[in-house]
Amino acid sequence: MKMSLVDNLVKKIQKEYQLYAPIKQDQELFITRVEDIEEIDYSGKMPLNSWKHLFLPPDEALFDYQHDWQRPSVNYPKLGALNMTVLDLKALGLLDLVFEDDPYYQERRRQILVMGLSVGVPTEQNFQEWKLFSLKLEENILEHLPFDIFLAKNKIGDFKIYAGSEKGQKILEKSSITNYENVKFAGLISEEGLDPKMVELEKAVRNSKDHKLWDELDKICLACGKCSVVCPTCFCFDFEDEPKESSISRKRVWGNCFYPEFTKIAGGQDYTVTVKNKLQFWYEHKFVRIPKEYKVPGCVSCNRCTKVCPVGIDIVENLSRLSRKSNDKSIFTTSRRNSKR
Amino acid sequence: MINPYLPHPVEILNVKQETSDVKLFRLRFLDQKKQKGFYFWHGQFAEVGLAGVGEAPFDICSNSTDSTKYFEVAIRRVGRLTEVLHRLKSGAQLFVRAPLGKGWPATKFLQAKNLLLVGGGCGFVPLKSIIEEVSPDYAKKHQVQVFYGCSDGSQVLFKDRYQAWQKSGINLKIIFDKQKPSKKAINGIVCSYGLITKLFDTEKIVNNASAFLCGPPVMFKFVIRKLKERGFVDENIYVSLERRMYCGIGICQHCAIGDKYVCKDGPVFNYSEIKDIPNIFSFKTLSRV
Repeated sequence: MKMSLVDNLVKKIQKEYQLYAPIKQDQELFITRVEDIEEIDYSGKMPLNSWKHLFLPPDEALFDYQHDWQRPSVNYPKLGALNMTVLDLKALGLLDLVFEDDPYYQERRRQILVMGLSVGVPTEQNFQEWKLFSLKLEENILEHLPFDIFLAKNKIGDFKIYAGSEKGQKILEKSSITNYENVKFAGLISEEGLDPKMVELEKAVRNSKDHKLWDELDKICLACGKCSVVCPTCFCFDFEDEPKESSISRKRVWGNCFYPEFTKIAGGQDYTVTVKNKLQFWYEHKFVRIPKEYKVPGCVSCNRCTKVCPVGIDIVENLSRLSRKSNDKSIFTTSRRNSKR
Repeated sequence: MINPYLPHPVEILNVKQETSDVKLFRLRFLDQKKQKGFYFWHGQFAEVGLAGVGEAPFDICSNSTDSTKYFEVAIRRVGRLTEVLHRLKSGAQLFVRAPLGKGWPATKFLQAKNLLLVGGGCGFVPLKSIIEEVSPDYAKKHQVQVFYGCSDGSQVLFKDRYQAWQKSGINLKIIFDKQKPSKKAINGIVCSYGLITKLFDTEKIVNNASAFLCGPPVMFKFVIRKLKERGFVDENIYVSLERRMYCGIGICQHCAIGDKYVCKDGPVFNYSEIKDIPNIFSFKTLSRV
């Protein structure tokens, strides 16, 4: 299918949904509200910010209190999330699991149309360039990603279209697109079982408490928390009560485990005071707690954290060092040697 | 879909000043049906709060067999929320999400049937519910030894329960670590002076016992060392941990330790499950820079 037909599809989607898509600004891609569909980027590259703002807003009113706790009546906006990469769809799949029983997340989520985009299986070369480590490139990868529509762009710029839900099918048919393939979502975990890289990393991080990497990072990390802000799988939160004119709003707001007092208890005692503690806490969430509970990686290897880190901390290098200790035949050894920083 | 964050209104039935900074609140859900169907397990906790001030976790410390009538939390005044809670009188309304977490193990499934309960400071609070529950019958069949350490005589909690506990065979010993006791006994309970670990040298420790511990981090380290010296195996040691639980359902991450969540997998853990998690009993007090 040609680009012009994709444009038509997007125009149809735009009639029903507020669109968000990667748009280039100052040489960098940012997920932005779309005004002009001509601006939408189809390169398949990773935007610098993550999609979580759409699915889990930085601040969300849970209740309004006047005489009792009432859920604010919200008409969740119909949003179109366009051109989400495979890695971002994996992150979305994780959020869907974590917030499976969360009424706020689920109601908001139902109003969002998700369109994925892939520009093809990364070649050996750009696989290295992207420093991907958790992307399993199985043939049936689409069955394990949540989406309504998926565009697979080939080398000459044509698109193959997949529908992953009834919502997707309907909009495709409204745009008179009939030559799409249906894909049934089969959960995030592939038939072969647990991702072996995830299992290896879990073991490596679990056994890393005495690794000297943590002491080295302790000296350079500023605990600024930027990595957590851009991470598509950082979903921790705080509650805040905010007085309004005639009521009190109890809000869920993004938390950040690098900020002071995240783990503080009554009396002022804190369990993650040192930067080393904070880093271990963050790594444990991604590589130990999430895999243990949800059986999927807590890091989708989008590499955003490395990109925004003001002191150049590289997550792939860190994991490579941690896992080399536990296993000499590390999966990273080659990729690290070949990659240039 | 159930809203896990919805606070339920409760009425304060009674407030009892336990010490200068601890009050015991007896609470009942305004919704009678909710109260009648309310069951908690000893060692579970409640998120207690007020609109505009927020919520914080407190261990439920009453007897769970009274749960359909009322439940109690002991609250120490240490911050903004507890300051406000302490100003409330009986009849006032506050809000609760409960029960949350996993409490003390069921006594009938314990390998070692005797009990050694060790509480330090406010760590004595979560032990109260188990003491209340074992005091009528269980303590007649099995030995129940309780060590309670606190700073001085003014800080002693639940004094008016001591005689009833003693009557049902609970062997309670109190020790002060800041000030020598001004009298030998409080309501019949002998008080001594020293660190809580001293009781392991002065008292005859029950045999074939499971140990339940709660207290400040430093207490865990030294009490566990004493227990190990006395031949307690890790599997027979249970600890209740204090962390800042927000969501109470294992999502928000504030109370994470290693691969676990204190709010969901705890606050009570078997020691063998958590002993390898680094820094579990070490913290720093934040200094204001």
